[in-house]
Amino acid sequence: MTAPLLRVEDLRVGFAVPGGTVRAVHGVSFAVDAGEIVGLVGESGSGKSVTLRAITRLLRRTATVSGRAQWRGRNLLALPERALRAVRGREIAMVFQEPMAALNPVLTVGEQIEESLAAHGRLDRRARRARALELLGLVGIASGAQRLRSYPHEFSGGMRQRAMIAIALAAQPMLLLADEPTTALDVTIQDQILKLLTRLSAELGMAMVLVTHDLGVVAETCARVCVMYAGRVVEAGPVGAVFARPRHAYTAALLRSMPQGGAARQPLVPIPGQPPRLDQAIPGCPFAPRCGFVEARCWTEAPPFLQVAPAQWAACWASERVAAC
Amino acid sequence: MSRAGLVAARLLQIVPTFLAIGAVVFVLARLLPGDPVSAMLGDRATEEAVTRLRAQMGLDQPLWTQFLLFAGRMLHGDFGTSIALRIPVTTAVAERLPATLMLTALATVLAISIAVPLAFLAATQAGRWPDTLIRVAFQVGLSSPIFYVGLLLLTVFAAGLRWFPVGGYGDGVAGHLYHLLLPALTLALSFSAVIMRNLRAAILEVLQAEFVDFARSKGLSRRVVLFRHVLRNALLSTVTLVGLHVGALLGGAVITESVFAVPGVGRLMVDSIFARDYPVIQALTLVLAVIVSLAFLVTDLVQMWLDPRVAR
Repeated sequence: MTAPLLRVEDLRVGFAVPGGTVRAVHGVSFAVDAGEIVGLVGESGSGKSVTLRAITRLLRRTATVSGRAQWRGRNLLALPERALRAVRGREIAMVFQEPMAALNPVLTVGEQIEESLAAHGRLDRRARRARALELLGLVGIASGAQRLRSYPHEFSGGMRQRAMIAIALAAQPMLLLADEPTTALDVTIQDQILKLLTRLSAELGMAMVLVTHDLGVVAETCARVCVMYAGRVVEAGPVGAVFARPRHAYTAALLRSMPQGGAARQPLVPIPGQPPRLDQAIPGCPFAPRCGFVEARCWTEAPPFLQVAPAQWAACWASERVAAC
Repeated sequence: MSRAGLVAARLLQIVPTFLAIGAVVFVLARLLPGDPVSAMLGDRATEEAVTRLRAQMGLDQPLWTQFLLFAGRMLHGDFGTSIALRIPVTTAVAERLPATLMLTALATVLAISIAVPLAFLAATQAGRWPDTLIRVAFQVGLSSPIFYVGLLLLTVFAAGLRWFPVGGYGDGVAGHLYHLLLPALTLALSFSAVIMRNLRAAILEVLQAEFVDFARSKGLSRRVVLFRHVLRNALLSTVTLVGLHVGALLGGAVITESVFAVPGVGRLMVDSIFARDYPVIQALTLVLAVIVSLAFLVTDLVQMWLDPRVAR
């Protein structure tokens, strides 16, 4: 078995706030193989976006990051800024949730594609333009020559997201980190963008980490999924197995709270309560206060992240009872 | 609307603006306490002389006729004769205007060249000692009165070190620049403090924008991210501020010209007000108002050029 493309190990991110530290990410580990699509799923505040941004160190100065992000033999978290810049965009690119906010309003789409190429490639001006045109075609934007001269505000929401993907793909990265790429779009456009991303991943052999709060998106696009809660990965495994037989009480609850495509009029079961505050240490399982399977040791002892089935891991004391449900 | 159309529309706006300025100046001149005729002839003028002069100046006509006459003369550049200087107002203003324009322009250039790099430094080092130092220094600059800063610069650099002349305007462009450097610096210091504070805040705000993270995620160098992505967006609000500040700068020029004995319109204005020289006051008000509205025009055009979203 070959080594994974990216291996995140015991990633911890804290944010200094008045009166303490918010532990936004608390010992996250996962791996991504070449060409594979991995989903990071969880509620708002579960630390999934912070995890993603920590990989290429795009967090603010107030963040303290520890752990490892092994990328092709190097730890990105310890790489000098200059070497990291050569990785960003060229090897690992990123797309964001809100294309209107992530595209620079005063530069044309063409300029924003070409600067990516200029930063990494040795292409001359003419070749950069040709490549920019090709990229717009690749993400399904018609009449590219004219579109290269347009500004982001002249695009529709879906087109903007396509343009952002084109920019991210400019330097042919091996891994795309996608932070809720469809959340800001309406449903029909969401589907188009997801199909585009999966197609590009397959055609270009590009791996992808897809952060989303939408289990439906995971089911549609990902091979493997990591479920995050309170800054931790609580369950990980192949999408089919995790969805069919969750081994963590939180995953099970999350699946019950989601509308099923086929099963109409089935009542949804919301998860009671709120995620825990992250500015204080949590002695046991962070999900315990909201959990239907809670037992005594859940309050005092943090459950270890154990293999519960072939290729499936979970950090839950009640793992077997959850699976039996 | 297309961008060219917007620019044309903005240029056309200048016509009603100038008309309105003219009307205000006309009304203001008639609201001023005292009567130009008695100011010109003095207290002991005969009734007959007053009537003759009133007729000569058109003051016996209905107000709207007076306004049309006034507007007509303005369009021909005829502002009458200065009461105190006894020369055509146009000549008096034309002699003094270049010094003031040069002083204001030089002050603007200095203020921008001081403020932009320091705002950049302060914003990128926010919360650290360079930021604190710059902000404290500018706070002092902002809260010092212009005449005080002017006297201080005069004492140190002109009287003390003798690097610069104590006053005057010099000969030739180089001479003018040399003589105007200290007064321009005086004007620029408080102006640059305003720009610095605004730009620093704008840069800090833009640094939070997601497109900055996206730019960094593309592997762009820090320099490209800061100049191409951050600075250009941050300048949008600062450009407006600079444009709006031109009026204040002209007001400051009045004081600075007095301190440094620069023969500009600022001093002419002060002298004319003391001498109740209404034709000159009227002409200067008009000229300064036109300069300010031209500054607004330039601001808007720069804004359109910097921000493609304006052309919607």
